Amino acid sequence: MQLRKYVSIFKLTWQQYLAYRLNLFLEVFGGIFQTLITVAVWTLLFRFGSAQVIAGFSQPEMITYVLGGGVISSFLLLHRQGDDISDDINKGGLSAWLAKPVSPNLMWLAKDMCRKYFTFFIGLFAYAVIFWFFAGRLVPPVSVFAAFLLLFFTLLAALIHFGLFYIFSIMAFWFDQTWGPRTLLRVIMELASGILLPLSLFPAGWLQFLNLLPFKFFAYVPMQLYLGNFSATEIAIEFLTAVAWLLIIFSVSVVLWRRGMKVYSASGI
Amino acid sequence: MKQPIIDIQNLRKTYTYYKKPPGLLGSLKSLFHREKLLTEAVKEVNFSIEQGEFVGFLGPNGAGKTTTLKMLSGILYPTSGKVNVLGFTPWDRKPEFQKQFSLVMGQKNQLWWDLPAMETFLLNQTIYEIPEKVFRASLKELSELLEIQDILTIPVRKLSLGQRMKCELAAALLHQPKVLFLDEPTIGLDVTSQQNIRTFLKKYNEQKKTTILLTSHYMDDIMELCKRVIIVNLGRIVYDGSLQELIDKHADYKLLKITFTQEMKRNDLKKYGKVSEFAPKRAVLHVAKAQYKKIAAHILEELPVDDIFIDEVSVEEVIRDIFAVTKTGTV
Repeated sequence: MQLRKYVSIFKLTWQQYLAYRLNLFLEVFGGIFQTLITVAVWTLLFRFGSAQVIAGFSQPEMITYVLGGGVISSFLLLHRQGDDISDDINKGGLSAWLAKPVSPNLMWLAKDMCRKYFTFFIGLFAYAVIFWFFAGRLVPPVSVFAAFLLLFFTLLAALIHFGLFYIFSIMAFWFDQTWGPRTLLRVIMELASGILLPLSLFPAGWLQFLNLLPFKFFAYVPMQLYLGNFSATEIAIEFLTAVAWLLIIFSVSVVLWRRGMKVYSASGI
Repeated sequence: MKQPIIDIQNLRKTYTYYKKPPGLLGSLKSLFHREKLLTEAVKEVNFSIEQGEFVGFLGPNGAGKTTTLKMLSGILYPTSGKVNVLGFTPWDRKPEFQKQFSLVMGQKNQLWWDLPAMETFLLNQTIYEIPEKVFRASLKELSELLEIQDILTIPVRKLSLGQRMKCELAAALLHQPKVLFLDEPTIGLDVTSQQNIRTFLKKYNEQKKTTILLTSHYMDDIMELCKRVIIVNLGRIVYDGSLQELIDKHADYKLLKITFTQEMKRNDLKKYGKVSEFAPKRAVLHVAKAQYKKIAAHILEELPVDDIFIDEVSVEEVIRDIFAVTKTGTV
C-alpha cells in the first residue's frame, strides 16, 4: 500500500515530463555530443600515437568505454539535478507534502528515479543512432553476467547519485541557494567518475584517492565490469564499497533531514 | 465536558535568521560573520475549537496567523507550547492524523501544474488510501457542488484562478477531512468567484460538520461564514468571541453621510461630531449611538442638507481600529 503511493508519484512525474520532453531530449542530446568529442580525442590519440594499447585499453575497448560511460552519464548526471528539492524547501512547496500522509524524501526519490528513467528512454533513439554508427568498432560485453553487472551497478549508481545531490540540496534548510555546491559537485564528478578518461590512467596515488570516492560508480566501475576488467574479488569489493557509500549517505541524510526540519520555516506561503 | 477538537496552550514560535548587510561588500562580510536575529512570530496563543465550528482567524500581515496554521498542520515545530488536534500532536506527523485534516493555501497550490486536476485527485486517492467507492462518491459530490465537472481533464495551468481554487478545494476534501485549515482561500479572486467559494464552504460546513479555521483579509468572507472570530496581532490573541459582539463593543458610533446643497466649511460641522471625511459639499460624521437621531434632526434643521444617510460602521473599520489599538496594548 505504501509503495503504491510512490508508484503513483512516479507515474505523475512521468506524465509531467512528457510535457517537457523536447527540453529533456535536447539535454540528453547535448550530453551525447560531449561524449562524441571525447571519442574523437581518443581516436586521434590512437591514430597519431603509435600505441596499440593505452593503459590496458585497445582502441575498440576505449571507444566502447567512453561511449558507454557517456550513455550512463547522459541520463544520470543531469544538469538541474537537485533543483526540485532545493526549490521545494526554499519556496515552501515542501509544506503541502509535509501535511500529507506521505514521506517527502521518498517522494523526491520517486521523482528523481522517474527523471532518470525518462531521460534514458528519451535518449534511446539517440543512443541507437550512435551505436549503429559505431557498429563493428565496439566491444560486446564479455559475458551475460557482465551485462547484468553493468545494469545492477548502474542502478546502485543512480541511488548514490540521488543521495549525494539530496545531501547538497537539503542544505537549502540553512542557505538561500544551493546551486553553488551542486555545480562544484558536478564538476568534480565529470573528472572523478572517469567519463573523460578511465581512472586507471591516473598515477597510482590519484587512483587510490579516486577509488575512495563514490564518483567512480557513475562511469568507471560499470564500464570496467562490462569490459570484464575486474576480478571476482574486485567485483565484491566494489559492491561492498557501493553499499558502504549508500549507508554513509543514508545516515548523513537522516541526521541532516531531522535537523533541517527543526529549522524549516515554510517560507513562501 | 466535551473534548475540543483543536486545543492550543501557550504556543510560541521564534524564528532565527541572519542579518545581511546590503551590497556586495555586505555579502562578502556575511560569509565570515553573520549577526543572528530572532523574531517572535507567535508569542503566546491559547484557544480551543469545538467540532463543527467555523472560526475566522484574523490579523494584519505578519501577525502570526499563518505561522500558527503551519504549526497546527504539523509543518513547523513550535518553540514551546502544546497543541492537540483530533487527539494528536500535529508535528509528530502521524499518518492517522494526516488522513483526517487538510490544509489549503491560497498562495501555494498542491495541484500538479502541467497535468489535469483529475491526476492530482487520483494521486490523493492513493496517498490518503481512499477506497474506490468512497472516492467516486466524494468526487461526484464535490464536483457537482463546485461545478467543476467539465474542467477536470484540462491541464491546471490553463484554468483561471477561480477554477483552480475550486479544484484545490476539491483535492483537499476528497478524503473527507474532519478539520480543514484554509489560509486565504479567496485571495486574488474576482467578486463572483469569491462568492462561489463562500457559498460552497458554507454549505459544506453545514452538511459535513467539518471544523474549519479560516484566515482571510476579505471581511465579506468572515462575515458570511464565521460566527466566531479570533484576532491575533503581534503574536498574541487580542480578541476571541462572536463577530457581532465585537462590532457592538467597538462601534459605539454611527456614521452620518451628508450631502449639502452648497459648499460648507469643516469647522461648521465639528460641533455635531467627529468629521472623518470632508469635501466642500459632502461629509461623513461619527456620532455616538445614543444621540444620532437627535443630531441628525439638528443637522437637517440647521444646515443646507440635500441628503442624509445613516450608516453602521463597517467591519473593516472596526478591525482596522483594533489592529491600530493593539499595536500598543490589548483591546
